[in-house]
Amino acid sequence: MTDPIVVTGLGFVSPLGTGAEEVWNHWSRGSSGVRHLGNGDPRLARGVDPISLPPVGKAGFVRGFDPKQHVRSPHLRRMDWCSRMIVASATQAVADARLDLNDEETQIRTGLVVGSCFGNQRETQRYMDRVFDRGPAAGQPILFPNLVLNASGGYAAIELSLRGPNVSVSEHEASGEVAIATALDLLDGGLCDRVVAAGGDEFGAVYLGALRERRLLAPETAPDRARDDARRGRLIPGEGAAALVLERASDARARGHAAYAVVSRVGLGSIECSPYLAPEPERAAREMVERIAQAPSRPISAVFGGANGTVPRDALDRAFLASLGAHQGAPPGYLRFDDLVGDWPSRGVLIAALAVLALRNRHAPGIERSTIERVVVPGSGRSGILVPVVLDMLA
Amino acid sequence: MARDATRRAVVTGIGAITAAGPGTADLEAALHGSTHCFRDVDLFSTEGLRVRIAGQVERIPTSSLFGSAAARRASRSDRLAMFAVEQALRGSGIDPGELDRRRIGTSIGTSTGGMLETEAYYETRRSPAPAGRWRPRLLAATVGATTDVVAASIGAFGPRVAPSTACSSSAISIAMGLGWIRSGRADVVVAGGTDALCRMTYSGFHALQAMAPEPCRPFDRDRAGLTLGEGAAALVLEDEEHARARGASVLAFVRGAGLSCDATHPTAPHEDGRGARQALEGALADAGLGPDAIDYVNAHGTGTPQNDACEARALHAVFGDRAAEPPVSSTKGLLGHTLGAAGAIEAVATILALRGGFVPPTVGLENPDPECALDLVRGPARALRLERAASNSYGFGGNNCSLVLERA
Repeated sequence: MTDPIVVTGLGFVSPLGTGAEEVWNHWSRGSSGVRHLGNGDPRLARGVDPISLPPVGKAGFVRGFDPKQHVRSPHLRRMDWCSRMIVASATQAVADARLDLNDEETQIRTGLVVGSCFGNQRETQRYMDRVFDRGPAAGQPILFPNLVLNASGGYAAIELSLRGPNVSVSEHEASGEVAIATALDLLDGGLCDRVVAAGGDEFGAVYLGALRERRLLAPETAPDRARDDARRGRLIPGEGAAALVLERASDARARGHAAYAVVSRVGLGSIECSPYLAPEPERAAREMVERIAQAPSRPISAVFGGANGTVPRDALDRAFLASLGAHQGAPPGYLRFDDLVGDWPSRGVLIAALAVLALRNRHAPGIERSTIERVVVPGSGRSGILVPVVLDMLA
Repeated sequence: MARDATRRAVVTGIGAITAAGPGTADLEAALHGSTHCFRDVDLFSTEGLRVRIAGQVERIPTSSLFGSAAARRASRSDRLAMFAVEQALRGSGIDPGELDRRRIGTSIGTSTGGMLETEAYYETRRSPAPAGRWRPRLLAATVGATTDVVAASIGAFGPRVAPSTACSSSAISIAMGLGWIRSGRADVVVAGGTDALCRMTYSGFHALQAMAPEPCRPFDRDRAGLTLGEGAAALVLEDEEHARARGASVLAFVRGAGLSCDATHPTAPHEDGRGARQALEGALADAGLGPDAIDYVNAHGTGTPQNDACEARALHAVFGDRAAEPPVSSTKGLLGHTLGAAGAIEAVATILALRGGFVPPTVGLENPDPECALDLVRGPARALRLERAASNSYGFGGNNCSLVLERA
């Protein structure tokens, strides 16, 4: 790649903290963002959540995030929670990248891609409750515009004056990684010069209720750092958002901004699979290794996995590690993040952002290895979509 | 993978299902006429609303491409999309089994996906009855589900994306497919969009007072809002060399795409139409063409006072002194605003117009708004040889996309 795409800005609103430094500090200290979630939680008491959540036990719950510290727009008061997280993470990433968005040409040439599986769940439920209770004429005009998946992208564009391509994408559990892939597509196609790639999802009672009905939620009694066996195939739900600023290395250099890491390859593709099921782990692992093998041949130092406690996703990480270890002749380091932040469908952007922090600091908390040089985020979702994202430290 | 200047995207198959009927033949026949396809909505209750009509699809033939599990779980949006995809694939002569499946991409845009089924799930869940029987439907509810159903059903294992940018979703899905063809990431892309009517959007647009009580009248002096619709459309995009090598008939070229964001307001367009202008200028630049090259504009033209006026300002800004020359029409007066499906349906309508040598009229337009001052085509269709046309799509969030299409 003659002019690689680099990461020049990061933003986080996550159970592990808000902002890159806070997240890194908590991660380095071994703190977890997973805690017991109950209806007595202070955030629920403040009325941020209009809908009572079902009892979910442990969860990666965003705390201590004050949207007013990050969002200046007068639209803040009408923004839903998911949009607030995504807009704040995008705002941090743009500030971190030191982009000057007062310049019209920069506004026009800066794109935004948001990955989210569900978008604004809580207000959708609230809106539909009213429609079901009082009839179709009771729809609330103030809520309705927030119910489209791209509401957060619209709010972020207004907040930051992002006038370039603005795309929201959804691909189940791979929504975050697909957002990164789409951002690279926009850059490759010359449609813009830099892109904010963000991903975020919030808790919603309908989704959590469905997980609970299907007995996919981890029992409250599971230990904090429980692994597959202890959790018996169940997940810890989470919520959060993260954002990356991506641009060409030459552009970052030209404006004198140091990059954090290189995006070496994103292998968006899929394998044969039912549209409603997770892919077969061994096949998916082989396919992903084949896709990342097309990148330059530096070995992978670490896999930042997508394991979430469910049987098929954990099996995919295991198969991927085995396949990758055999391919490169040495086992990579491995981290999973469900016991750190919980799991949400667009978590891939947050995992990629954590990988960038690790590459920046040449160290990943939890991996005993002298240097982290290359990390892969093996994004995957139901229906067989595979999106391995390979990130490298700067040369 | 950067853009390869030697690769051009052609359209080798089109499919559509709209209130005009299942198939592009029904759509083309309706595009020549001046009668709308609206009727009373019966998918859900409209009790208490001052608007009861929409461009509702009367019959959705079941696609033979469905696997049994997908057919059982499919949402209405999935079924609409699968019909359109099957028609487009048949028209292209492509059998995915004979191609490298990893070189086939899928990009289906939608605004609300399986929301109609999610509403049913939630309504059941609110009641004391057990919700178990609805579980399979919930899996079909996310906006990414239709792309997955299409990709799995046709065996496409290349790049895949489900853009969801409200009413520009499927125009952006075509733009994404164009990018994959040009960059060499795919040789064939099934691109399109789908949206079924649902309670949420119907009551929402009603609450915003954006719906006209009578059939919509885009660009009319007395326009009072939009009429909702539903449907799906699909285009088989293909690398030109790939298409020629297999002897395929080329229907049209996708010459360019332009994307922009107003960054002004969650629902209202920028007053000067700057985002719409930027998208169209971007599409022309991407195509390497000037505004003089455009013979017809398929407008977004929703029929709301503000949107039509802003789009007209954008067209004036792009075409300058020539603004009154290219004929302009909106097909939403015929089919309704199909939201996430609109961009793809209107791209298909534009290709039919390019190939058929006609400009579809704006159904419902009687007294053109003097503030718009464009060559607004009223019924019936105008016979005109067309070489190139632009198709505009704008969505909530200020998400805009324009496409430039060329006759083969």
